[in-house]
Amino acid sequence: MTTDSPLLSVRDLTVDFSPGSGRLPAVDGVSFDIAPREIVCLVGESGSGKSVTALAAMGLLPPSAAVSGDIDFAGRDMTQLSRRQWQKVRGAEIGMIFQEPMTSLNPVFSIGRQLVETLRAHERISLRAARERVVDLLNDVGIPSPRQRLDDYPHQLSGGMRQRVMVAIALSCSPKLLIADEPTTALDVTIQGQLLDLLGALRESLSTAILLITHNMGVVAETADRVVVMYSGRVAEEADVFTLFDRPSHPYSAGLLRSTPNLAHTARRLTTIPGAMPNPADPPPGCLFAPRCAMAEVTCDAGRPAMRVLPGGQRSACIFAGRPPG
Amino acid sequence: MAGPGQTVDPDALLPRLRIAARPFLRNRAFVVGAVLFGAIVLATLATPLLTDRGPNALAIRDRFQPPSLAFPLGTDNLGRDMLARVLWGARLSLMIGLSVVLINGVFGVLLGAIAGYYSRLDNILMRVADALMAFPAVLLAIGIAAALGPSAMTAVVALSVVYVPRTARVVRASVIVVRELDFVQAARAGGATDARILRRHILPNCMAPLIVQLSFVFAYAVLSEAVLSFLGLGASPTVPSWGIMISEGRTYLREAPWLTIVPGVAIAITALGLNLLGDGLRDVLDPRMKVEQG
Repeated sequence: MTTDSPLLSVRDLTVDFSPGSGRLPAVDGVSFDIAPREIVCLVGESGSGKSVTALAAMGLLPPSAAVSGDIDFAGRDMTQLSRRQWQKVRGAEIGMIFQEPMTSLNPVFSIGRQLVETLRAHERISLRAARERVVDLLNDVGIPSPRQRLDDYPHQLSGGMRQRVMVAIALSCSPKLLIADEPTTALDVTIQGQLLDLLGALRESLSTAILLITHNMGVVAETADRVVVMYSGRVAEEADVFTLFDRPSHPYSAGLLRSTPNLAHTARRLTTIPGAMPNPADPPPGCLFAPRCAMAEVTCDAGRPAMRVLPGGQRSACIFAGRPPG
Repeated sequence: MAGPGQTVDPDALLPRLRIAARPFLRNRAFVVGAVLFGAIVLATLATPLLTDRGPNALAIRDRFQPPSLAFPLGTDNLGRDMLARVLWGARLSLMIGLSVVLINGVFGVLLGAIAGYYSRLDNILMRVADALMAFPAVLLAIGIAAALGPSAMTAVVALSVVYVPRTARVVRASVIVVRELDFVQAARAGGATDARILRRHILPNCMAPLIVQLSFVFAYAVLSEAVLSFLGLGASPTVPSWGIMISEGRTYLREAPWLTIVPGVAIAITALGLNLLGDGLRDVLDPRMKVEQG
């Protein structure tokens, strides 16, 4: 998949909400690629900069954020886009779905109207044709009897149904990239599974690449082609999903995997990663994970570790990466 | 849109309306307010049916008639029929109140939406609003009306200047709340423009407090218009206005108290009706603002 030229290419992205304060930036030097039709998972705990990265790719950061680095989408430098150009890209070429399906739909309009609106904001299409398309879309995302649901209001639908409607809205203009910011967090487990299956199926049928943000390793295992693990605003490790689960090269990813229940193994006590993320106002001198890392040595405190490329395209920001564990 | 196999209930609209109306009908303040205000509006519309006398028709021989069968509300110092005058006065009061409400609806919403959505303009607009709101409402209205010279139009302008900042405040407060909700961010992610987000996503979700505010503005406008015309700063004396009627009747308070009581009661009914209506609307439309009833 790496042979294709990437659809989205993020290089050295840094987002700082209080530049010059000496605090850690929310996102610091993040780089990754998404190939066409690829599902990339962005994982990390709360505050690791996953959502900020996604919002930056969507051009939705507040004006107070200082953004540097390159975001290349389909051959265009997105950091140079004007507000107006962004509005044309959003919804049409990049779609987004959010964590909270219960509040992501406007309560005063029927879902049909909201779908038609997004569609007609980007395409010259008659109301009647738009309504037909919307019926097809609702059908595609697995909403039963879509024609009758068209005039329903959001409060008449369950959380899972609303998230399906959100997916339908995000996909209404067949975007090349779908950004899903923890789309399953607010849903119960069976609906989670259905939604992930739906995303996978839509990737096949619409050739949409997906950037899936999650902190759920189960979701990662089920859907991802490739995984980017973030810690404290930086990329800790990037690998394809099998490599990550078999041979995590960064102690943080290894810790994440050990703290996830696994039905295949015999019952064991789940390991936790001790401590918490560094205080952004008082970061550790070297590797940001060192204070919580069981492998940490004195050398870990000498500067932020550089990204190492390992065989098989795995990348890791640990000075021990590539050495046999021990 | 009726799809195949869907059974269409011909009465679908009616039960829906009934369900929608239920919380309103259960609210005592709303019902009483609606009845009082509705009675005034009906009387205004039906004026020609209720009296055949003109509001300015003089009948010197019939002056100072107390309420009787011939003159249900009596006559004034020039023998003019009080019923006709109070009804025509209602027309004026409601017209002025409605104009102020419409102007508030347009400019209050516009300015409030801009201030709430664009935080850069918020400070400028709200400081101007603060400056205008620092004056007591009636005093400011009197000042503006005095500067522009008395007329019905003046009253509308003065009352609008007084109440638009207050409406803008209410709209701004709701816009700031709604602006941060997820579906606004979702609309932005769908490529909606600022104007579209404001018009389609934010303002429709700010309607409840706006409607409540406008019903209060209506009540205050009617009251303040009476104050202005009482002071000779409102409509010209040739037009029957409740304030002018009280002002003129005051001289004969002892001999003919109905000259002041009739327009006074009319003002009270209208203001009370609108205030109750507003209270009821607030309780039904905006349950979070509900004042606990004992």
